[in-house]
Amino acid sequence: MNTESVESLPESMTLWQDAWRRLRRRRLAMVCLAVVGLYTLAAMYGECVYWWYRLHDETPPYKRVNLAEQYQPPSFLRSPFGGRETGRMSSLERFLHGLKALGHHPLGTDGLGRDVLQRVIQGTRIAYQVGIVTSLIAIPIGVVLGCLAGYFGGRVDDFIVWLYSTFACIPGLLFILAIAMVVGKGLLGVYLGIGLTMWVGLCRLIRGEVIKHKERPYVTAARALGLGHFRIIFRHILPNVFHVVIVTFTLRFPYAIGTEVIMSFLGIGVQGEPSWGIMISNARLRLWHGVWWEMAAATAAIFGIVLAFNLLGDALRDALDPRLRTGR
Amino acid sequence: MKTEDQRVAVRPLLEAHDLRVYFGGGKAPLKAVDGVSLAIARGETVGLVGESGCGKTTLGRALMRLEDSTGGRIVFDGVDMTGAAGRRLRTFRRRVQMIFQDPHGALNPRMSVGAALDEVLAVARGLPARERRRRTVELLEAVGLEGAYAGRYPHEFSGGQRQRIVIARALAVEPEVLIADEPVSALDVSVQVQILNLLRELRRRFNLAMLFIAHDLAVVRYMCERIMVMYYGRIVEEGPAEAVYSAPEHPYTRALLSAVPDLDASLEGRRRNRIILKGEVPTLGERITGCPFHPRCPWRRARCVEEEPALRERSAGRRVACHFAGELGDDAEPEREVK
Repeated sequence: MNTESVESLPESMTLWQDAWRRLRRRRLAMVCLAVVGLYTLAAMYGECVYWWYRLHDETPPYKRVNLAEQYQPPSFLRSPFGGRETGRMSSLERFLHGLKALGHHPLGTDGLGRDVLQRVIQGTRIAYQVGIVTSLIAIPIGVVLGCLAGYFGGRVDDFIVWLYSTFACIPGLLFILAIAMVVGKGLLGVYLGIGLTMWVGLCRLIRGEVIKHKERPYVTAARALGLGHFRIIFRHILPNVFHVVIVTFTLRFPYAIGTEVIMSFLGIGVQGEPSWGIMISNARLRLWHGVWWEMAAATAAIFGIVLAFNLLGDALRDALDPRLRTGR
Repeated sequence: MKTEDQRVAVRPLLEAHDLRVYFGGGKAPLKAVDGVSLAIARGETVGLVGESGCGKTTLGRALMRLEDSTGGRIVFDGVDMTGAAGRRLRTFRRRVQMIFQDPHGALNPRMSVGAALDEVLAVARGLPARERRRRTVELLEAVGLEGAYAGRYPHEFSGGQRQRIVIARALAVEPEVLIADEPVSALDVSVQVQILNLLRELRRRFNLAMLFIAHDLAVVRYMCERIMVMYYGRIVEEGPAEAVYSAPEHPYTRALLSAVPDLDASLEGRRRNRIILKGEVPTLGERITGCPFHPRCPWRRARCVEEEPALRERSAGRRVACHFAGELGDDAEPEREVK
């Protein structure tokens, strides 16, 4: 019997490693990943700030009202290196003073003199919380129901398809509003409302993929080996359709954030915390005073994260699904 | 049972009685397997030959209960497995294993070879972790691969290596019957021989009963003691391999064998003896009265169109489904009786 040598094979690489290698080759995807990383860092920083002030029982800077400093434009518009009080300083002193002024409310303040940058960072924290918690609700529901429907078919499939079709035919925002009415305003309503509507798309995709994989020879082989249904579903089929979950997650994350912004804007979302939606809602009233920076900061933050996640999601889809690869 | 071979005389390990697999209900179901009976004894290899689309694969799958049978019975080691479900079905499947035509598709691309074997050893055999690692290496070595391959993924292997892995996985559950569904038809010719030799060796070592499904007659002859020829969901001829090869009795078998290149015969003689079949294999959905082979049979007579021939015992272990078996001209020109 001939034994073939190990040397004849190239370096071992799992499919995940291969996908990562493909993703790394796309510059835009890597830029988006970096942007997402920055947002994540901002959210973590925001979380730290939040807990620090909460544990010290102090009013955090993003809530501290300081009417003396209201409506300050972003620091770079306040001519930090010029100004009257710098008249008799040396150039070095002037430079240092300018740097300090630049760091003072870099994105300006709102109508109550609260720092806009701090509020945007807190908004990032809220956005991440919403994105993660809703995914934690939606992904298990979507994955489990999708797998069961696709694998078992028949009555199970009929029931699950009926269930998600019912959910899908309720207008999303109305459903979210209804849930918010039941559980009350606040983050819990946001989580449940978005989480319970977001699983539908994922469930549908997973079901389709599982139906496709169910007939693959490797599943037949697993059945022939006498493996149980649940082992086949979750150990064999699920890893092969998991890229759908990842792509859906990256594409749904900004959707959840957007929905939270809308809910907060409408006043049924986050209460008492500076979410982006609340910032936009507040800034709207002051925009005609020429106070544009609060609105600009919040919308730019949303724009950045939604764009980054969407581009990243597309790139991930290409990297994880070789059949859809678009050249390069 | 005739006793020309001692092993066949003992109770068969896997039997099918009048097995039927129809797809799609209604008035004209697709009869993929239509009343097939067979018996495989321990240590015996039975070849199943036929053109593509004749129901060979479906029969193999149905024997493992991967396909629901419409009628008939499957008996394993004297126990009826036709209606087995749940744990009983899973245990049955582990005693009968299958090797697939496409070794690439049969392996989970997200599972390393070691993990795939490990899972089988854990679930089917319930071995402890250390024992499993040892067995994994043993199995890989048994099929001619190095134990160091365990950490690698299916896409890193060649077709022949993958088929070895599939075989190793099938052996992991220590089966008694192996259903090999065209195990080499997707492989290079040079690799085919290696895999066939491996199967022969393993069969001897583990005393496996084997159903060897193939369309390549030379391969079947190399592997099997007994062969069955399948056409249109039915067995049309069955017998000891040598007897069937040297003196085929069913016109279809004759046509199949005449298509095998024979290096000894002169070109002239071959051309003269070749039976060229007209037309296509009827699709399984088609309705054919009488003998299913009659539209293509060069020996066709009036009776063939009207009456379906039964599988008759012609001699010891030799069965043929043809009205005129033994009456056909010995070779060369068939007497054509075309309208």
